[in-house]
Amino acid sequence: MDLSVDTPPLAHPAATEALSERARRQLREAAVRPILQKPGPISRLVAVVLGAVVVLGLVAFAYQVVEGMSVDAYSDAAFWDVNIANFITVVGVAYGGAVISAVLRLTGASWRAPLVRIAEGTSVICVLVGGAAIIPSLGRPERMWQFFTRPNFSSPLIWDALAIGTYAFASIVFFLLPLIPDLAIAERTLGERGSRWRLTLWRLLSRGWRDTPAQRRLLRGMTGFLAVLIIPLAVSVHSVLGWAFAITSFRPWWSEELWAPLFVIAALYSGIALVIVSLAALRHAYGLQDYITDRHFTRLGFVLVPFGAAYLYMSVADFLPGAYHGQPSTAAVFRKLFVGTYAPWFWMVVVGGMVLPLAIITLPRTRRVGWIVFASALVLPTFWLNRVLMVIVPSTYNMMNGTFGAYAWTWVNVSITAGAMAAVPLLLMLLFRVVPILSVTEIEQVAGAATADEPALEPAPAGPAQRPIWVRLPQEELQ
Amino acid sequence: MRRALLPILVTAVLAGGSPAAAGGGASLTVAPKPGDPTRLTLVAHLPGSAGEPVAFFVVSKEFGSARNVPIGVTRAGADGTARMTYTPTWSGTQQFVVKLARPGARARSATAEYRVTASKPGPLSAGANPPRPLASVGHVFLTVILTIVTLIWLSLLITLALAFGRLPRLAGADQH
Repeated sequence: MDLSVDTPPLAHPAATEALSERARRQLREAAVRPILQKPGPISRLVAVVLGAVVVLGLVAFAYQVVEGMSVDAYSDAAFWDVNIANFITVVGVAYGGAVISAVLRLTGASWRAPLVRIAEGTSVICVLVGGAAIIPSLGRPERMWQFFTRPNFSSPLIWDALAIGTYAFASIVFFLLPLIPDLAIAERTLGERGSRWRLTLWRLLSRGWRDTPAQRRLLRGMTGFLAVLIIPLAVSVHSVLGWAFAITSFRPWWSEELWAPLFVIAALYSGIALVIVSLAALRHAYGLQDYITDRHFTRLGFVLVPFGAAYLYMSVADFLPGAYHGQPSTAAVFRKLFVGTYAPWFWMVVVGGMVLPLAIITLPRTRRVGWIVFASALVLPTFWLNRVLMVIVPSTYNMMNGTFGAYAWTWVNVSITAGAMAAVPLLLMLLFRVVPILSVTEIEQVAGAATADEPALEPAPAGPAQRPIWVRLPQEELQ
Repeated sequence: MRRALLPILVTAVLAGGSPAAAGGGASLTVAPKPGDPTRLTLVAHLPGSAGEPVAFFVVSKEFGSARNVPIGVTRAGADGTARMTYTPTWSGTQQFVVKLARPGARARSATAEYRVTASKPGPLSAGANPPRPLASVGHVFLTVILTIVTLIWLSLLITLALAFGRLPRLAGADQH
């Protein structure tokens, strides 16, 4: 088995020494292509469909608020619902982007440069959508503020809210800081092509960036600090989620000391899979093949493999002792999963979410971009399915008589689920209509162009004689 | 059988109050032990039981329906009086029963109700539910965690404030 990795070239073909002026222009054009480029019919159709699904989810949620939790299949027989699974899934995938970006920054991996913006953006969107996905489970969302005015510190839910709130805020700051130089570049060079509201926003957020050494030092320090902070924060979020299950009323399969690390590993695994899928979709949609190369996918695939293997191992460790000792309630739940009603779904998770992705990426024959993206795309729905099984099966188990209650899928919980899932790509598309999709400054720094002695930015002079810096150059001019 | 006995016991208690007597002048008195309110002294008088073993019970619903849980056995004195000291393991109104312990003895018994206000868990109860290991440091743990969360938020806010406040001021510094 060939597990070797070629040393990838730097971010851009012209960056072996330093970016030429032409290559820089092309890079800067590519970074704002989603902003300048008018959406094509397919992009519009995708956006409209996603928007419609999100609206349907919101309508279903409003209906649930009016009619009560029973329309969402909450009952005595199923006290937790698919909304909990949605929440864990989406917050979980938020982990990958921020952590991979933080780890690659801290380890000085130069190949990160074209990926970090999309990875961090994915993280921010997912943690916001994931945080919102818990609201339909609250029952009385209008009383949410009492979470903070009358906190119950012995409840895991308050720690969930604190951990996710802190992680969300840290993710946003971690996304914003590296964006500052790129927004300054965009604001000063894109001019009126960027539309007035965008220019105002960029000016506000770029904080008078002139690329001076003092500014660079400060920004580098703050970004490094956040890169260190974001990793334990993300670990805390998913540990608290795992403990929320583990300390809930001794349900079978939930009372597991293993669940906190299992959730952390699962979140990393699925989060990196989401980064791969997002990169592939955005690379294809905006023609970023010059920057996000095939070797980026190979490398991310290799990052995915150890987490997939760890997830598989921890899942076996999760099931084996319980299945062996046969404590009645645990045995009943595991029987339901292994050979009972939920067996097709359970084995789909094992094969489609763990074994197949690992096989696809580790086998040299299938270690290609398309296959890696396919493997990652398999991970995401099976990860969600796994969470659904984790929530639904134990919560429908009757601890008194050892039977299982029925769980019902209704148009309300299906619509809310679809709405939450559709919100992620939709908001990601909208996000990169507002901010540059590539981290221009980091790519230039990696390429050696943005060295300490580079002239600071000057405002772009006006006048027809000046060639806009964002003009796309023909490929041959890069040679 | 137990369900059949229960109304008889309850009737005896309701009829006699506390202390109560039933069955041929038998009586049971419950009072706190002088100087130690967590212990009770149960004094039973069972006429004609001189020198006989007397069993004391507390009625418990811990295991479902009400049943007599043995407290102990002692011998009655020459006047038919038996004493037992008992340390209640839970608070609240409790029903006590006394009867002759000898098999085949004439069914003489008495009941009494007593409201226990001071109790201490017995060794069995303490063994079954040991105190949680972190119970004594829970408040410290909470304070530490909340302090960490506060520090994280403060550092994030300071970072953001630095970005928004200090970066513009550094625009002119060290400029090439």
